[in-house]
Amino acid sequence: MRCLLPNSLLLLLLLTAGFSFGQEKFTISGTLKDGSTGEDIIGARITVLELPGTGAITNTFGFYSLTLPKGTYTLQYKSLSFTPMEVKIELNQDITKNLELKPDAKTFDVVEITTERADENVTSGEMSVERISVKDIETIPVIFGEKDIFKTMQLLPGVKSAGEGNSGFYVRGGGSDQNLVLLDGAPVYNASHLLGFFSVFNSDALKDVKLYKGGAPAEFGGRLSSVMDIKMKEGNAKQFSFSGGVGLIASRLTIEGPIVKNKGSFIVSGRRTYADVFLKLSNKEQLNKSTLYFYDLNLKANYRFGEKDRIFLSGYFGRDNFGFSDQFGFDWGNATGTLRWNHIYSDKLFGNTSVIFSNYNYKIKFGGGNQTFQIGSEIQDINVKEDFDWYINSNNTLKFGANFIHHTFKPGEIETGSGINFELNDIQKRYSAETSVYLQNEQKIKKRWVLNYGLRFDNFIQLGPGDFYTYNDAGDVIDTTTYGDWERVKTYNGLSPRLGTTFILNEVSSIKASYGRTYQFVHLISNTTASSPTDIWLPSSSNIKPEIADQFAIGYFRNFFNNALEGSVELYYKDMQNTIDYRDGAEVTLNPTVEGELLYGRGRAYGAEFLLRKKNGKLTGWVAYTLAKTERLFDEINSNTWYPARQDRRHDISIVGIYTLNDRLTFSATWVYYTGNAVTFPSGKYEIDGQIVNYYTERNGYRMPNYHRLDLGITLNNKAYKTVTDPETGVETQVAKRWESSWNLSVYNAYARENAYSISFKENAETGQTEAVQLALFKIIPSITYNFKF
Amino acid sequence: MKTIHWFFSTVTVGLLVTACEKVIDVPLEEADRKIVVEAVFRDNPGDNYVLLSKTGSVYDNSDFEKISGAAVKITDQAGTEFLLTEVPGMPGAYSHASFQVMTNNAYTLSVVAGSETFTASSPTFYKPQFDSLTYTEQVGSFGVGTDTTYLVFFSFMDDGSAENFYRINAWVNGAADENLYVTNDELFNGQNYSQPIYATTVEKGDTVLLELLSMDKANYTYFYSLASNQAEGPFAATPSNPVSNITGGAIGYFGAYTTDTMTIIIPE
Repeated sequence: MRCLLPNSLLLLLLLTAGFSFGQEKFTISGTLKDGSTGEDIIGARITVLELPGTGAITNTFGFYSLTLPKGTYTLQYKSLSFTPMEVKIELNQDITKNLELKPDAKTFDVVEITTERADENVTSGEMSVERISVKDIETIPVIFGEKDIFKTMQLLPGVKSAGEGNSGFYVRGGGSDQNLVLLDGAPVYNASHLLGFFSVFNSDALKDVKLYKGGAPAEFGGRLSSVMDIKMKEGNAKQFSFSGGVGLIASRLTIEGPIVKNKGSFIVSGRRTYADVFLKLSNKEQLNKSTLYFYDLNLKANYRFGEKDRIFLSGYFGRDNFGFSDQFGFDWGNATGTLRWNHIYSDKLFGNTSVIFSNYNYKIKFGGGNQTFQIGSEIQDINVKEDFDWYINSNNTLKFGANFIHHTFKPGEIETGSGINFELNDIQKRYSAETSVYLQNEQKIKKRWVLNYGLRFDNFIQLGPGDFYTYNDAGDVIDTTTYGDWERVKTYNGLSPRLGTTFILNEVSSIKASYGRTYQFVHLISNTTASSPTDIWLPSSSNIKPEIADQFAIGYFRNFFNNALEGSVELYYKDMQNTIDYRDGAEVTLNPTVEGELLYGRGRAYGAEFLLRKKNGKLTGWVAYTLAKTERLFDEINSNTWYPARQDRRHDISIVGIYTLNDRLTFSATWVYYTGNAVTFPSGKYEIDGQIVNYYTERNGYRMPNYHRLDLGITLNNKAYKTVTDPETGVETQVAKRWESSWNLSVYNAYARENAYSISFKENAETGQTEAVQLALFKIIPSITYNFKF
Repeated sequence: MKTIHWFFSTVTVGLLVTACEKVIDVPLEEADRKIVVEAVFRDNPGDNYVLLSKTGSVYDNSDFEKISGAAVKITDQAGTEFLLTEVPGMPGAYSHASFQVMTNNAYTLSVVAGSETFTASSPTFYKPQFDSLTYTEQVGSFGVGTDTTYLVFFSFMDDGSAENFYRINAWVNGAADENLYVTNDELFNGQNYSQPIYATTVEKGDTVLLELLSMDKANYTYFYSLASNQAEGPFAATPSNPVSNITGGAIGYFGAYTTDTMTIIIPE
């Protein structure tokens, strides 16, 4: 704690340096909304034409605030896919200006997307941030035609897919459990359906997705590698609207509309798969009693009380269900809820109070009738959060807040039916409290510098009750201590500085650099290759120390051809402490002394990310290339020498092209290539217990074959306009149809590459010879989806 | 929890009809040859063996080099030594004609092969006893297939006075089942316990013989990690060598077991 003081002093000094005194100043503030639906517009840019370089950006609730010297100005409001609007103001007092922007009019042969500010890439104070537009998600081809933000995100540099068709991802060498996935501020612990092939997010209900690969603002913490901040739509505040789709795997339906026109709105969006419908058709009783599906439901409502207050209520509920006859059942899913109150305290101070709930659980049931045996596991968070945006002046925006999370971990709950004559003990529950405060300022210095600096302080306490174990070096229990309710078992404190700077070299290029430290106090305990629904989470404890990462990044951003082409290069280095691995043959499920199976070590990851992106015109898309290395070091593994992490991939290339022929036809293609994962193969074999067993000498010493794949897609919009002839004048006019629809055809793995999903060494039953057998999951997978809106 | 891994693999493969397998060429490095010890001693007179062999290349056929002429002995807690002799006609296999494992004892194994010496120890506990074997009918297996098969359950009472580890072996119509079943009493200390042999396929008319072995933690860890080593697919752990209880540089295990057996016949 001794280092807190000098840091905060520095912060204060920097802050005061940003203030200027003298001239009389006034503030213009307000909210910006979509003129057709009433949705808040996030990240819209407000520029002052008379003062080039001066402006503001709307926050996630569409709020902006801009403080300027007294005078007459022309403000320009601009945002992606909206017609820019100019407003003249006489600023001699504080003004509130709530505006609505019109969406871009659809014309027949020109498809022009106005971006934020054309040179946003170069001038913004952010680096290592990826944003995905809804349009990209809709047109990029994906497996089974199920639009998926996670899979689209995997096409960006530094973000790697967890495997064939998998929605899990790795960011800059971190593990898949080191990504903080937030849905309206609520953490989602297991973000995949159907064993990882689909993400839990129905993209119809989503509005904005932002991924911080590093240098995340101080308001975020708790995970080492990245933050994926997902915002749900608020719902149409102007009129009722229905949209949906029928696909190969699932169908979707969304209903949205006003609660009270322009004051409040709601959205309900659902999705369900229907593979099990075919099972119902079976005449075998056991089979038609089987279940196999997943569904999810997104709900959100908001209501505005007066000019300054707004309440949001959002929720997510999703579940996977597998069942076979009445003999076996397995279901898992997430539930989250967010209650949020926005309050505009003044034209410069915007506040947000949230109460957030998040739960992930699974249940496995064996047997039927009263002869049942059930295993369950759960993690549950209750989170209270207070956030403020303080628009100090046109050069400083200060964000500060506090957060308290209570975690409950249930690693294993076992229930037996009344007909079973024995009982198994539960694994003890674990509790912990995580308290954080943060402060972050974005400061503009002159016209060329943008400085971001922040500090986060985390306090983590593992709480009783329960029996807590001490282990020896071999992982055997040597001592047990019992703690009572709410008794402190172990406390950790962490101080995370976050720094970032942008130096604008000239109109088309800039240099950016950042440093950030992150702490992680909850740990995924799983030694399987793929993420599985039975993964459990545990808190930091006397044995498990918090994981810590320090990341440095530097980047060069350059735009070409009058901002038509954006280019960037980022270099990063990440050092990780207290990363977790497992003893050989570790038993991680239903083990009360699982902490004795863990090993703690170090990790390092470094690399270069190149991105070239074209945002406008008929042809849009990007080329991303990542050159990276990720390694781990553990005393007990690989004779204490650095070895490649499983997700270590030297080269990773993604090419995405979207060609809009006209307003009805869009073609898209993606091509990905990456170095095979690091993998452990045998270097010998022997016979024991009458079986042939592999002998291993080196962890992750081999490589899977390189992976590559081409996907293709076509989106055909049905005619959006109909010709109406005026009966009196005979003049023909084009009228927009109420019913809009489109067909989406896609082909996954178009050239049928057999990419290795796994390689196993087995004896050929006929020859007795051991062979390397490669399993490839998907060859060509065509799919078709029909989408509609009215 | 191998059930779950197995279930996932079944579902994954069952769902993804386009999955395909092919043999590919993967060049592998050659590890130095290691000596493999498999030493099993039971509580019936003469029911014991020690197999000594060497590891081989992955792509070679599986006739591993046997180690003949080794000096093998087992010593009990009281210091009584029993020398094993090589079984005639079975190079690398050693046995003692009358040795019998006793309850609540501790044994030490010593193997001298050429210039190398390997030792291991294995304590014994109470004599476990099956209460009963039962079965239930099931159609298909976890939603895949439509064949009618039977799931055999065993049950027994755990000894509450100690931490116990168990292995269950199965033979169907006299043929040894390859599946490894191990469990410990961390969740049912001193209570009655029941479990199916979930991965073993049993049909109408089959005779199923089950053996319950009580063993020490080192043996449990060995078999648990051996099972993990053999698991495959995305829900398997990173492969590693089973954790051996033999010191001196050999791989394999030494176990002294107290046992019980019981048979059930599924009616036609």
